[in-house]
Amino acid sequence: MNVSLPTGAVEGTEVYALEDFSRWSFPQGVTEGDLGDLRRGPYMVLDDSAKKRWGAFAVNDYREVLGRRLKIIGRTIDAKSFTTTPLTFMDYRLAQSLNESELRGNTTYILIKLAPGANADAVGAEIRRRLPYNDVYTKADWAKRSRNYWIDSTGLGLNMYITVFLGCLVGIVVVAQTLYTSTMEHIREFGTVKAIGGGNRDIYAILGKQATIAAIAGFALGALQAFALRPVMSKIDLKLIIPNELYLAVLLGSIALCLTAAMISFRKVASIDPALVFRT
Amino acid sequence: MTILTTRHVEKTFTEGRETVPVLRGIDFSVERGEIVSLEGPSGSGKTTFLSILGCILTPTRGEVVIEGEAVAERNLAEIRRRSLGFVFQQFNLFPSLSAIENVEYALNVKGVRGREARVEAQRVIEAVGLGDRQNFLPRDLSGGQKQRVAIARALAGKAPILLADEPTANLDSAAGTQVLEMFRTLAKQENRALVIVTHDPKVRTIADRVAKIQDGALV
Repeated sequence: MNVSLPTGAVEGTEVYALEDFSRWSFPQGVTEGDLGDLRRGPYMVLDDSAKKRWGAFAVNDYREVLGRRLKIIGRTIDAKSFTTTPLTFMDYRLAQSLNESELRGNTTYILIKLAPGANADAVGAEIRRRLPYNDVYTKADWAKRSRNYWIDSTGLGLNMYITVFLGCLVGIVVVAQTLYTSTMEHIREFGTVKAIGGGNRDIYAILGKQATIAAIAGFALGALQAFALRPVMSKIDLKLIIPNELYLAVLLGSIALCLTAAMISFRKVASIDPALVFRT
Repeated sequence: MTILTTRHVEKTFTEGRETVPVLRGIDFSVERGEIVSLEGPSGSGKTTFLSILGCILTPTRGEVVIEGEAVAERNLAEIRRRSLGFVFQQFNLFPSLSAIENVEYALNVKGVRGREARVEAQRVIEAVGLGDRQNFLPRDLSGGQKQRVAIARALAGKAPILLADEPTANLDSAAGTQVLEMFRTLAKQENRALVIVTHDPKVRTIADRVAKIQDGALV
């Protein structure tokens, strides 16, 4: 919805409207006001991050949402959207009344809270059976669907894939170049390994070890940088969440990339003539 | 007992369209425990012959038999691993490994691992008189000490044939004499055959036999 600011500027806001917020324990991080009061009138609760786009605000201030003055009765922290658009919380009926032509009489989403111990999949299946023309998602399904939307249906996904691809490409080239240079610097030693009875496998093992060490060192540096970036990202209202599975995938991916990069060196050492050990 | 034999070994190299004969039918043999000094002027084919004895090159024609097994392309690395120890003019130690680790790694390559490798490495490193410097990196050792590590590496693993390429060329006279004496003692003690390619006349003092090679043939 559009919000008219005291400066005359118009900004957007994402509105979350429920019949009873307190039953959903949502949003969390309420620092001022009471969510239960939202049902009492034309009120809204704003997230603190809105001040970056809307300027400073205080509880009891008014803002105009779709032409109607609403009183700010509370403040949350950390209720932030991925798009950085400020979040507003208000009563369900109030939100419908703000945009009657589109929202009155229309129900797009129904949130269902299960009793403790209920099986979400079983409940979902039963709803699907009873309401065959509706989509039913669990929390995890919905989260996945949202992620997929951003990745597959917006430029963000392509951007991300291109960034990852270029990162991998540059990484492979740099590691391949580094390992190859190192191999050439130690060509006599590899020749010696062959001369004393070692085979290509012995040398591959050395190069593989080097590549793995490079991957682990690179991963450690990258992970440290990611940790260091967290507070910087939070300053622009973005939360950097890296699950353990992603750490593991990146580590394994880095090792795979570095071993791939070592292939050029593998080819080089395979052709080493051990007779070079007799050359002065 | 003959441990190494070559029969009419020839080697030619191709340079562009030209075929250059380097070895011209060499018959040669070494007994177990024998020390042979292989001498000859530069370009005579000594190093090529040593490479063939060391299963690093194969002859164009002729046959090499080591411990009763004919050398072929398929078993070069296996024979090198099992039967041969090398000492190089440039030492060719692994610079990032300590003296004992250099020896231990050579044993690993030969398939000896773990405690067995450590014990054997310790034995040979002490045999060459470097027990007190076993943890030194090659850069912290003198030329003579480096060559002793190289000898220890060649001795490790009980290879019955030791091949040395100009082992005294990068050493001063005293260090060269010391290394040769030690080489002789250890080779004799363990009944290893030793072939030394050299220009150094001092090698004759430890050799049982001198073989001269000239223009690719034994003379």
